[in-house]
Amino acid sequence: MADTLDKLVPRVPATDATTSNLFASSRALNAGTGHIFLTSDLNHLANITAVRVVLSHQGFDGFWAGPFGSDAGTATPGGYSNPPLPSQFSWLAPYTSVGVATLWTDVRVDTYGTDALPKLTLRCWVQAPPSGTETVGVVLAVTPQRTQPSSSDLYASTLVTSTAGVDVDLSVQLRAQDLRSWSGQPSLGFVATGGLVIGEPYGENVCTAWVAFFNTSVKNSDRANAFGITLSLEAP
Amino acid sequence: MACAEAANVCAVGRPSRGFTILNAFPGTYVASYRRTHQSIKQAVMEWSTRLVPPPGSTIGPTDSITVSLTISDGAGNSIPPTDSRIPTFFRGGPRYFSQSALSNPGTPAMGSMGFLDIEAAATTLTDPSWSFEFVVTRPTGTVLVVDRIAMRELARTIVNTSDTYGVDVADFQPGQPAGAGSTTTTGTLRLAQTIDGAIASTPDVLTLGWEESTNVVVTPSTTSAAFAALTLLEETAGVPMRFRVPIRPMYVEAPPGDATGETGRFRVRYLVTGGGTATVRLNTGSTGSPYATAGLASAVFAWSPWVDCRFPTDATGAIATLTFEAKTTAGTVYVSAIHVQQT
Repeated sequence: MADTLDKLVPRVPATDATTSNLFASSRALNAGTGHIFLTSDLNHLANITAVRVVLSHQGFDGFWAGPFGSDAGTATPGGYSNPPLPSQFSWLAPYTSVGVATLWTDVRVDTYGTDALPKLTLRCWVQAPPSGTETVGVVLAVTPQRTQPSSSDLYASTLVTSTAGVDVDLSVQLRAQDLRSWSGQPSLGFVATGGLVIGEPYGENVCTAWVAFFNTSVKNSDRANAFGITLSLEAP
Repeated sequence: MACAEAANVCAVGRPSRGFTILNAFPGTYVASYRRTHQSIKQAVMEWSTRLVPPPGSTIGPTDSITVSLTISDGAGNSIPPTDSRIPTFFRGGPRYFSQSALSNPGTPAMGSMGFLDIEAAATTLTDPSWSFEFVVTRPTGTVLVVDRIAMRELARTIVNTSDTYGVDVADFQPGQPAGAGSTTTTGTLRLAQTIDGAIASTPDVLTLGWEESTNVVVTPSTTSAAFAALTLLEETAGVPMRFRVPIRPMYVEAPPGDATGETGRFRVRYLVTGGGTATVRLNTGSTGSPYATAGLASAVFAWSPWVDCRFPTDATGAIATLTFEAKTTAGTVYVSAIHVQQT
């Protein structure tokens, strides 16, 4: 965004009573400078407040479920593409009995600046199984509703074969069609009968983010790892 | 007038604090929270499960989950699960689920979605550092798990000039008299006050949680007398797990950023056995890193004090890499939760 120094201008708090307060009464000679700082700060804040970590997780220690849900517990992983599609991952909950690695979360999305949307970035460290003959699939997908992602949804994916482990960064540029409007007037807390406590109305744009991994070994004796997972909204 | 609107959006329309706990099998999970500022009033809370079981298993018609929430603060005040401020189905009552006949196992089934009145909770929880304790049980059945518990502050759509932050945009319409006013009413001082609120709306950087347990299989731990990576927080043996996170450049433009970086703080939830005294430290890559919280001697799970730290912004994309290590003079130190935020 223009009209910004891309950093905040250090100044005394608005409550400060000294002559250093540019916005206080009788500071006419500083009015121009004060408003320049105000404009720059607001433009900078409009950018950086759209940037934040939305999910952090320690990851999955030793997963082995293969491509496609039907392969969990079988010995023959199904075909998958390069890069893989969201439909080629198992989206079961991460039950330990089948070595699945998936997660999801809702994300409130704010505009970056006046009208741009941020991108959503997955960062993690992925290690292929020790046998050295298998492949790990990684996908980040976004859906406007809380429904399992399909290959027609926004996604980014990759394959990893390194047994030493590598950093994986996947990003998707969010679009208006990836978001849903979520608004209402909440009932706060809990009331058994009558006397609802009505809260303030809320209104947000949100999407649902999904992350999954597969391991073509499909054996719990040849497991893969995905650690240090962070999902972040970042500058477009 | 545009400035007033922008200030309101940035001060009360984009709160960035909360936490997510994933894959909560039956047990106790504790998360840390510190309110953005007094003009953030509400939070949404929810938990979910999945209704497609793993192959060979069945979700029975009477299978159930309970989630019981207690919120406490650093001064020892608490709000129990039976309090009216605790949202529905966070009060410990059973929630029944049936197996899904659908073929999309990823779609979650919501156990609860409710709203927390942060303002009302703060009348009891007077210390700013809060602790959310979730007890997850599975009274019936053996398959269901809580795949996600989430709490996040809600954006506000209205402004109340009696709050600490928030400016009435009508005061800045063309034709209105211009003046300094005051920080509590109107004018440029109120606008500047609201911008201060936007600056104070810093985000959580890292929130991690494990089951609160002294089982080394489920809770990170170490017995090392020298700083070492905790088990379950390693990439490979002895190598700490890295979390790469974007840092908001506040007072130094990025790029190029700054090697010392922006201010923050962190705390951990820990327990030490065997009468030991532990230290947990955070590495951020800042010139002042690492940062340590020392003298940890509690024999029951407790929060460490907050420790100030800094995050560098001189890497591409202002990405900071965070790692954790710990040591203990005796016994074992367990870490069940970590909370890192910009300040």
